[in-house]
Amino acid sequence: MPKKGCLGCSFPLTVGILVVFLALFIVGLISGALGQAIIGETSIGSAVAIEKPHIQLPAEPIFHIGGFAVTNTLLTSWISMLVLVLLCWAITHRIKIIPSRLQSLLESALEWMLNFCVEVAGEKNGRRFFPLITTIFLFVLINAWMSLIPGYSSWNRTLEEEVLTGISANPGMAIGHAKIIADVKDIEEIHKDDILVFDIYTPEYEPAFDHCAAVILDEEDINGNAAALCRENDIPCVAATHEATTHLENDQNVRVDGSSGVISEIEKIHILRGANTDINVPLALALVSFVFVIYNGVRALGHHFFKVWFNFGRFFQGHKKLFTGKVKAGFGDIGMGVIDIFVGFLELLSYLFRNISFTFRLFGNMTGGEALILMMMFLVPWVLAIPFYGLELLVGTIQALVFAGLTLVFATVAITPHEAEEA
Amino acid sequence: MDAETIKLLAAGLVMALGSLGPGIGVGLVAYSALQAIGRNPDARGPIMTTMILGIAMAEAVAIYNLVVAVILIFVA
Repeated sequence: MPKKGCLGCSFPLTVGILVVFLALFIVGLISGALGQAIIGETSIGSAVAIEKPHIQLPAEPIFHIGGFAVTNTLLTSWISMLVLVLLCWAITHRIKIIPSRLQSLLESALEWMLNFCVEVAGEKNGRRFFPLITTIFLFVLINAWMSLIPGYSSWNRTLEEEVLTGISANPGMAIGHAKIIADVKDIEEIHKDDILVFDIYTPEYEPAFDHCAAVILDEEDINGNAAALCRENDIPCVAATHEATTHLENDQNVRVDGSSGVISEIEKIHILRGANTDINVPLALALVSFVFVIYNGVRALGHHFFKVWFNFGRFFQGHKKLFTGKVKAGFGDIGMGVIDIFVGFLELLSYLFRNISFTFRLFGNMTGGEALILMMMFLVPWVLAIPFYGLELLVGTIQALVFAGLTLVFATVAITPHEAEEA
Repeated sequence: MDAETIKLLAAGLVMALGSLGPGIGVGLVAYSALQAIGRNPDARGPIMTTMILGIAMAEAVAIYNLVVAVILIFVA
């Protein structure tokens, strides 16, 4: 039965949704960093502005068990495993001849993977490779898709750690990015809500006092010019920290408590983060696939498997021929033998480099995708990120398929006998 | 230009120039695979497998670029 209206909704509803999306898009365009850069800062801009995303490559530890740090990516990979196990349990604990919707979803996915394995590796080996290949596929896929759930990677916890104490010069509380002033030129870089950090006050610093959030001083100058300026502008000030300029890092997020003189470091830690964006997860998967390929190669071919890497056969045969009098054939074989050795060495290198490309392919694609979505959110909030979510769904599937497919193909190549080439 | 600027510039150039070749390569692989499937739709399965393998090989070069760029920014 053909549906009335447009895109499955009645015509007015479609128009209504489109108008809402368009409105959100325009507001996002004006308020986002892109619009702010073009038309200048507006009042709606500062209301919905999103902080410039910070790309965090190493995973952050969220809690410790004994001496073992549990990082956010480790936690998410556990969650992915849990989701997979629960999903499979929920489907298989009551298996029916006439499958339910969930059961037929899983069945069709597994059947498709099984066909893929059998097509590449043949009936017997395909069935043998199928469990590991499918596990890799599902694990990578769930990891990639879970991190696209809205709110998944924005759930965070704030850690506060006291780093410095000084003497209160003007009370008040402020949070902002520390900007260490080493040169007079740095003054121009100070934006609203930054925290000035310097050792000794000079008159050139004065313009920044209008708009900075707080001031941290190295020198013991509670009644000096800097402190007086702070009182004038009513901004918190901590003096006599002695080592703020060396101890704090530029752009570090700090809280300045002007009444007690305590400076604490504020760190936002994401509790959940897509497991594929931690390089250790792709590396672990790559090593699993590496061991799997070699195990299957050795199992199928025995020690002949290593002949691909260390192919001295023809080199020694050539020497044998030399001593039995076939000089021309002997030298020919030695020459070809050297080439064989070199090719074997290249083969060994390519086996080892596979780990690197496996690792960085997944890591690069996933981290790049996450950074892309974050940047789009930052440039134009709300609507513009939606198509990129769609793109990331596709990229996650393709990367999972590539990881699983390549493992399968490499394993198939490894179990194929290469005796025929030598004869 | 100071060292930091050159480092960032180099990392950007590594990705920009280094991705040209693999990009063309991946395109060529997909192009010929699609042509092959168009001529012989029954051979879709094996062609797809070989295509994924070929794309992975071409793409590996871009991945080495990524490694170099990451090293340039975070290590060097």
